[in-house]
Amino acid sequence: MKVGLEVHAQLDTKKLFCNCNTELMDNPTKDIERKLHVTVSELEEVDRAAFEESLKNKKHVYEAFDNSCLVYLDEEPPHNPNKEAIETSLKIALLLKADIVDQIHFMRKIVIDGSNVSGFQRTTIIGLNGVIETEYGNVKIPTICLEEDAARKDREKKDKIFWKVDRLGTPLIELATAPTIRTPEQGKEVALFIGNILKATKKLKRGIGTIRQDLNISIEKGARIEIKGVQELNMIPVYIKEEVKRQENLLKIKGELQKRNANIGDIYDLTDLFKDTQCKIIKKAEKILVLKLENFSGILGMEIQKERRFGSELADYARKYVPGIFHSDELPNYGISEDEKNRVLEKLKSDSFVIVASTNEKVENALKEIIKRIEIAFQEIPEETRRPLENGATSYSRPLPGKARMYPETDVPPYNVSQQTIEKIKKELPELPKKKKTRLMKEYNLNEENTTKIMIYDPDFFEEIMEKYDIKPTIFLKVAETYKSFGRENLEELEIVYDYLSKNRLVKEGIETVLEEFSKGNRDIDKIIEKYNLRPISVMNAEETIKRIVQENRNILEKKGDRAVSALMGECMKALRGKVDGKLVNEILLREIRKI
Amino acid sequence: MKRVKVRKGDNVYEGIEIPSVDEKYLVLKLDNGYNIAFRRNEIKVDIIGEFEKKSKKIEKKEARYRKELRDVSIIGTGGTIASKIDYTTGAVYPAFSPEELEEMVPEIFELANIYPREVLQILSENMNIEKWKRVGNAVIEEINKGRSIVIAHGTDTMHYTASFLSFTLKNLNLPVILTGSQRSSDRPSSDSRMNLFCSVKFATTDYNRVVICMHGTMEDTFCYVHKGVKVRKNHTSRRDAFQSVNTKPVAKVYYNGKIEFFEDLPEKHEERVYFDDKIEEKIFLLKIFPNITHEILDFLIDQKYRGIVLEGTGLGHTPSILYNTIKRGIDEGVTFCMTSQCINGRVNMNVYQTGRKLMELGVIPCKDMLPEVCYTKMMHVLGHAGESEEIRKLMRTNIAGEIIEDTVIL
Repeated sequence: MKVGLEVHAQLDTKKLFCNCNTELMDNPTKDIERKLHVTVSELEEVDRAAFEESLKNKKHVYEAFDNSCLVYLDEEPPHNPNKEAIETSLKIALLLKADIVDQIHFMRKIVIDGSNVSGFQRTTIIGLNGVIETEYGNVKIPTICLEEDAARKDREKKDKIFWKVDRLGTPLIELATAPTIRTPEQGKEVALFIGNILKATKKLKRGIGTIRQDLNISIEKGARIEIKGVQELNMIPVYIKEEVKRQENLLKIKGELQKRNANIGDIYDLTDLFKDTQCKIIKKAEKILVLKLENFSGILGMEIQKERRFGSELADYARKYVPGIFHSDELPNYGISEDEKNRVLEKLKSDSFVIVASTNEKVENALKEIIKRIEIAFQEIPEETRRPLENGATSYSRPLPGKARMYPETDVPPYNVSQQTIEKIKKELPELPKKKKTRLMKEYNLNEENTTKIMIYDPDFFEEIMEKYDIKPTIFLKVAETYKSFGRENLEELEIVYDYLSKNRLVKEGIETVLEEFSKGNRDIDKIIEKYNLRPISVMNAEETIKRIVQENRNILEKKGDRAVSALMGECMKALRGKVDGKLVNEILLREIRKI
Repeated sequence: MKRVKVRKGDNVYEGIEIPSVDEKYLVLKLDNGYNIAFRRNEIKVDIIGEFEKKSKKIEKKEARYRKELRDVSIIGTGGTIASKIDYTTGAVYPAFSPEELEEMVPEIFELANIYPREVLQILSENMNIEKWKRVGNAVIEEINKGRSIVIAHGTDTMHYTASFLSFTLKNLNLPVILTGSQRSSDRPSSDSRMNLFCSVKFATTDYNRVVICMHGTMEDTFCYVHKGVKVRKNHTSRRDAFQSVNTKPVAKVYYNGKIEFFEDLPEKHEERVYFDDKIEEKIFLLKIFPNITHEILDFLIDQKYRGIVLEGTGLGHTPSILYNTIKRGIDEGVTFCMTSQCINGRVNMNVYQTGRKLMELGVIPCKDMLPEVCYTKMMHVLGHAGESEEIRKLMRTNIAGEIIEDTVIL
């Protein structure tokens, strides 16, 4: 097994080639409809992936915002590259001990799925031959690139794909490891290490989807597969295992097909046979075509990955044209009766088949794709880009892109990287994760497990909080991890919780409740504490005491007004010193006085 | 090109050496497609072989002629509407053989029988009178073969060329369409394909005038067809840079081939079509600005310029400091025409004293004509008429649609 990892991380700067912000936005105000066309390469064949996409003949609708500029609508040439983004990527390259290029040349990389308005992504190599030291040994990082993030796909409707352009052009650091990862667990470790190095620059965007991993996996006699866009680090080992399983099963299928002398037969138009069917999809369809398959029984329904059968792979290929297919191994089902299945088998004089039902043109194209996929199954495992599914399996998205799809971005002049710049950045290099980990363990007296957790979470934020607030590292972790489990990462909100905990204004048992409310959008911590009664007993007692003191001194208060406050404060502190934070006493006192 | 091995410290890189603009750097195309560059004085370079560019042979195909389709000649002048990219160097070069065109824009071959002809290979900022004449003559040759004309042109000066041809192509009986691309044709998002498609589509109509056909909006949905004498490039980079001024476009051509006309077809010409190449070359286009002084005008008169288009302020004004020089010019036989730098609207020199004074001196108010159009019209008019009264009359008479007597609310 060979696994390589590609990590993409967004930089928290302006866009790479204009001065627009990179925040994600809602409510687009402008729609721009475009078509993309393949450009033919002189050097090589038309890029396989590009060609495949153009076949779809999709229209792309780019949703822009009031403040979207012309550059990322491809209505204006790019401005000069963002200096902060370049210097951050140089910093990362230097942290990885890479060889830095002396002059940065941006390239246009053809991307024709519509995710880049221009039809290409601008990308450049910043450094080469980097290395990271992991617990499993050194991993080489052959290239460190700086590129543009793509637009966000919003939805698809018939022949149109809708994209939001807010994310397009966000600077993205891309690191690719050599395919030297040997075990599923190591895949996760390497991703973690890279993530920490990137985070150390403090120039990374935070939040869901700001770091994405692609996995390149192949096994002996198998094929190179790219699983694109894995966000959950814990899932990396699962995807690797599931992909290995898929490839092994496809190899089994290949052997079985050859052994059984399986055969792809003719296509039959069986629209009439299904005229009384209970299957809704077939009922609605204009045309029903059936592909005869000989000696495929059991193969179509064979599970090759978690909850995915060989038939799922066929359906993926057909998906460009139809939402799904039916195959004999899964029938009767979906409203197709045993009787209908048998009549089809009888008609074909065969043991298995695939049904496609839709409009005239679509069924034929869909069947062509299915036949193509089955033919490949006899020969090899196709090289593909696949989409990660939640359960650890993957689905086909397109063929693996070919190579020749890059040429110089002539609108951007080469950017010189001077020795002085390098020297300046070298002086600013942050502490490397390995060193930091050792230091944290010693300084905060942490055990190995918790240090690792802090390193994964955010060591800088940890240190910031430890300096500002009087709380234990374990409490830091508990809060941070709980919040993450609610799918949120907002440092300001976290800090509020640390603040309250350190001042003993919130019981530890209330952490989860507060964070849950935060994640639902309720931001007023006082109200939450009030509502769920999350005050420590000491605070509740203090409230009682203060209430009493205020009542006892009502007369003085009414006479002297505000001038009486400091006297009362002295009284309260006398009773509560050492039990409750003075600031809190003051706050409660003022609240009680106001009640009068 | 050479395949080389570059040593820098402990690292070795292999790839193709790409011509570099800056000699101090060696640019290397790696096998993964990226270009990287190193300072030459810090590396060691070994040549390991010659890089053979695999030039893809495009099959020569029999042009299939279809009787039911119209014939359209596509005249190339340069620019990047139809060009290919060299993926090694990134250089863009025109692709104009029928085979190359068919490979790149197959859809136009469904609309008409296509005859590509390359006349020039220039950037449109280098367009000049001599080149205009070559284009004009080529148009006539093609029209005489019964072909409608699509001229692929750089966008910078496309509206000058369109205007020039509007005045000099006489008795047109077939459409002449100029088109180009604002976003280079190497990019999958280029506007060139739709522009070319809509232009060829419009070439199959009977609108026998010179027009510009370009994107109507930022979207790939339709093109506008503009009269060659009523259009201007009004944006540096947007796809819809070309806009009709003081009038509606002629038509809308949708990317699905549908055409929507906003006006009736022009009259047919019975007489023989020809290119009128009698041109006065010494015409100047001068923009008026607040601190302009008379020396520049004196210089132009000394240099024997025969006509000067003033791009005046507002309704058609110049500072009074120029009066004497303008008078000197007119006395020496120079024609002065007034247009407005406001672009939209028409000149009216009766409203202010300045306008009246300039008219008194003999400056010709050119109604709602665009400055660039006035410039090419003067070339044509002064190429023929000598008498100042005749010039005045011709400049103020509509010849090719350049003057509309009433500016309508659009």
